Parts: sequence; structure tokens; C-alpha cells
Amino acid sequence: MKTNRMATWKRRLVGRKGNDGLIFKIVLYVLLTGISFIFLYPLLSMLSMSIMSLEDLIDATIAWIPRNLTLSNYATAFNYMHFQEALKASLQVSVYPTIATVVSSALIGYGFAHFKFIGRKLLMGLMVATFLIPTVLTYIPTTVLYRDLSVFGIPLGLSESIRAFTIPAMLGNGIRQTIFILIFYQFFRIIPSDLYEAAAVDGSGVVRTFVTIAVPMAAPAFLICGLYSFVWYWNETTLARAYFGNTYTTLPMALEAYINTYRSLYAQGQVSLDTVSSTYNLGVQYAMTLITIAPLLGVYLFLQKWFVEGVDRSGIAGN
Amino acid sequence: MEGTRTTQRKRRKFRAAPYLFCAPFFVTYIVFTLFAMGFTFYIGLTDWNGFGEMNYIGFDNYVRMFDFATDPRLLETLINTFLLMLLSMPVGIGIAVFLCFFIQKKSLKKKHVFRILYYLPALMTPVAVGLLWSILFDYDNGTINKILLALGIIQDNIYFLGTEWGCRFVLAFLLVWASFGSTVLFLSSALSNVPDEVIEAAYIDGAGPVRTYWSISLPVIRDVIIFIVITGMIGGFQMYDAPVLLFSSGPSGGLPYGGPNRACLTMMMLIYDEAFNAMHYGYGAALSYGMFLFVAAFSFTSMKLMTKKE
Repeated sequence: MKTNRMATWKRRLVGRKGNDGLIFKIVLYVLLTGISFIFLYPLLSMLSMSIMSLEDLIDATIAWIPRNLTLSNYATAFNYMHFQEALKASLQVSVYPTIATVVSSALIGYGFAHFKFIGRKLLMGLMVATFLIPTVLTYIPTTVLYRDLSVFGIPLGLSESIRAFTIPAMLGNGIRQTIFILIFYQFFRIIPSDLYEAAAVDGSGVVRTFVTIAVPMAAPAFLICGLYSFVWYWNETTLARAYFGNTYTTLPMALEAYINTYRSLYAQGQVSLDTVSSTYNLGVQYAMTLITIAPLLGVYLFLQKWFVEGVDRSGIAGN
Repeated sequence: MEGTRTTQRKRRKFRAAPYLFCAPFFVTYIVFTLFAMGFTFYIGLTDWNGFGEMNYIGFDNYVRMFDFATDPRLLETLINTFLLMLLSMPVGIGIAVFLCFFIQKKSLKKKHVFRILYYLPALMTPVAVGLLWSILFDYDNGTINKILLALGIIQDNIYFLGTEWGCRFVLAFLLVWASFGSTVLFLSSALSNVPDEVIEAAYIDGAGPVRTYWSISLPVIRDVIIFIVITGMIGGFQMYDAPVLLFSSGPSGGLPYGGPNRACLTMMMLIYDEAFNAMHYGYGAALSYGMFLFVAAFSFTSMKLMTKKE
């Protein structure tokens, strides 16, 4: 009896083939949670330091829990960044291009997936070849194109962001758009041809077939492409700086400007970790960083399933 | 039969349609990609500074960038990227392969929570990531130094970002951290596609779970691992924001662009610096062709090498 019970316990703790024991599970969860902590640590420490008062920031005895909670860092950060304008700029340079990207990628993907035409293979090959072409290779001419020649500036009242980001995206040449076109291509390819034939029998034209049959079937592709496109345009600072100069200051660009000022002041000895500066301190810096990434975190929190799906289905690498 | 004939007729009737769908892509491909590439090549033949006149100077720029005796920077960026990849990839992929052994287990509950957490850094603004890591590894006030001191592992602060290998280590760590989530996602989604029959057959043959994972599952998903390595390498050439922010005359006291002795200078950083900071558009354009050459050569050889194996 006793040995029997021992054996049961042993099985529960150590496990047997195909069924893991408790010890194994505990070790596994500790491991996974530990690694999760490494990924969350920067966020958590930013959060805690962004609500610390100046005294707490300097105080070496305080590591995590602030003695005096304050939101003044956020107030300073909002002010410094000109939050409303920066948010508006950020949305302008990310939302419009995203919509343009999704619509044009769907159209182009459908064109490649649904029709057979002369030159299709060649065009697809050219498209896939863009993966090999570093963006810098087209970087200087396009910058000049948007800045000086303003070929696309001819229509009246178009802002720089529309000219440099939205119009290329509308035409299928947005940031990393090839991958979105390929995602749509994959989605449209697997739609059974019976559906198209049925629509054709009903006398449905090309446009109606696309809108009523193809688009609903590729709904996940719209979501996946929209999300990634939004994140990538939101995070884009290198191209934005080159194309827009000072006309737009998006949230990431405002953060960058602040860091550069902070660091040059620091290097000149005008600000140090011990001097109390109400504008230039780590608390404000962290608050600003959190403000910049908060919209992305929000989107991720609610729609994480689709980001993961994007990787699963299409091989988007993020980043 | 009837149906196919109808579609055929439909297709013939709308012959212009496919071209209309794909026309935007084709037009922009000519303007933004082919024309732009040609124009970049032309700029490389001049001494243009971005605003003034373009003077044709022949192939000077293209020759100069490979003359490593006078300007070793292109070679340096190549070596830097390789070193960074050697430091980061085996670790990142190794840990991911190890973890995926457990993550793929059916008994593991809430595995999506972990996957989601690991993927978080992939969405973070590169500027913010660079900033965070420069603070984490700061000399005077960095968290890592504080932790190591508190644990008694070190006596004095380590100047991570101030030494060649220190900053390479920091950047490699950053890369592992930033790409770990997508590596795990790629691997686990590939692993879930390995047919159950194959695994069961291995079990019947008497292979344990570890053996099955190592000799059956991993070879099946080899292509995915190759893909991760190649995209990681190309990403390494093009990395820009994070390493710039890591060193931009930081709190550690005026670190040079690209780190000490340019140990963390990437190709993209070099091109950007030449063209837009030093206003040598001509040389910058030539350098971007150098980068294109390396990226293409690397992609082709690694694909050839890795698909031929076995």
C-alpha cells in the first residue's frame, strides 16, 4: 500500500513518459517567467522611475517604489514634446500611409493572385527582388525627389507627409510594402476558384467580385497588414527626418530631440545626475519614452493575437 | 465545364483588368526603385554635396570605398556586423531552440502569454530601445552595474559602452533581446507544423523526447532557422537607430558615433553619416552600392551553402 502511494507521488512529481511531473512544470514556469521578466524589466523600471520625484531619483536607497508619487514628470514631458502637435504629426505620418498601404497592397496582391497575364512572373520576380535592395540605395534620390523637385508637390495643398509617405504607399511602394503585397497574394491565392466562377456566372464584374468575394475572405490580411504598417510608420524616424526635416515632429522624433539636448547639456556639465533640473532628468526622459510607445503598447495589448498571427502566417519578423 | 468556359470568356473580356491592378506597382517600381537606383549610381559618380553643383568625377568614389588603406570604414562595418552576429545569433537562437522544446509541449498552459511577452520588444520604437540600453549599461548610474555591484560580482563599475568589446557585447545583448520574440514565434509556429506521424514514428522507434526534438523536429524546420539567420544578418547591416542612440555623446561622457574605435558602426550608420551629416552625397551613394553588393553576396552564398548541406 505504502509503496504504491509513494509510486503515485513519484509519478506526480517527476512524471512519466508523455506526462510531465510537477517538479518539471514548476521549473518550466519559473524559467519562462524569469525570461519574461527580462523582457518586462525595462518597461517596469521606466514606469517606476517616471513617477518618481526629483529627490527620489537622486536618492540611491530608492530602487523601485517611489517615496513620493508624482505626475509632474509627465506634465513636463507633455509640455516639452508639444504633445498634441506631436501626436497629430505622428498620427498623420502613420495612419494615412497605413490606409494607403493596405488598400494598394490588397489591389496589387489580388492582381497577381487572381489573374494570369503576360509578364506576371517577371513582375513578381522584380517585386521579390526588392527584399535584396537595401532602402539606402533609393534613399538619396527619393529624399531629393520629395524635398527639392517636389514632383508630387504639384497637386495643391498636399503636405510633406502625404507626398513622401502616403503617395508612395498608395502606389505600392511604401515602407516594406512588398511583404504586405505578398501576404495578400497568399490570402487571395487560397480562395477556391469555384467562388469566382459562381460570381462570374452571376454576371459579377471584376470590381464587384473583388469587393464582395475576395475582400471578405482576406479580412485577416487587412488586419495583419494594417497593424504592422501602423507600427512601422509610427516608429520610422530615419526616413522621417530625411524627408520631413523640421516640418513634422512626431513623438519618436520629439523624444530623440529631447535626448540629444539632454546629452549635450550633460556633456557640457550643465546638467548632472545630482543637480536638480526640473526639465532634464531621468524621470522626464522615461515619462517621454513611455508616452512615445504607449499607443503601440495599447494596440498590442488589444490586438496581440493578430500580431502573432502575422508572424505565423506570413513570416513578418517585426522590428 | 460550363463554368470554366464562362470565366475564360470573362477573363478575355477584362483583359485590361490585371494590368490595372498591378499598374501602380509597376509604375512606382520604375520611378522609386529602378530610376532611383540608377540615380544613386550616378550620384556616386559625382562629388555632390546635396545642394550645389554635381561635378562628374568618374569612379573615384567607388574605388575609394574599397581602398581600405585610406578609408577602412566599409571593411570595419562588415567585420562589426559579422562579430555582432557571431555574438548574438548563437545565443539568441540557442535559447529560443531550448525554450521551444518546452513551449511546444501540449501540457503547457498559457503559452501564448509568454510568446506575447517575448514579442513585445519587436514593437518598441528603436529610438526608445537605444535610449533604454544606454541607460541600463551606463557607467556611473547604469542598472547593470548597480546589480553586479550589489551581488558582489564586481568591485568597480564596468565601462561597458566605453570599450570595444564591451559595447559589442551590449549591442549583441540588445539584438538578442529585440529579436528573441520573433525567433520564438517563427520556431514554434514551424514546430507546430511538423506532422504528428513523424514524431510518433520516432517515439515508436524508441527515441526519447529530447532525441526526437533534436534529430527529427529541428532538421525538419531547418529552413526556418536559415531564414532567421539570413534576415538577421541583413537586418544587422541596416541597423541604425538603436546603435546611434546608444552612443550619441551619452551620459557616459561623449562617446563617438559608432562607439569606441567605431566598434559598433554599422553599414547603414556609415552611409547616413557620410551622406547626411558630412554632406558627401556622392560618397554616400557609392557606399550604399557597396552595401547592396555585400547584402546580395551574403544572401546568395548563405542560401547556397545552407541549402546544399546534407
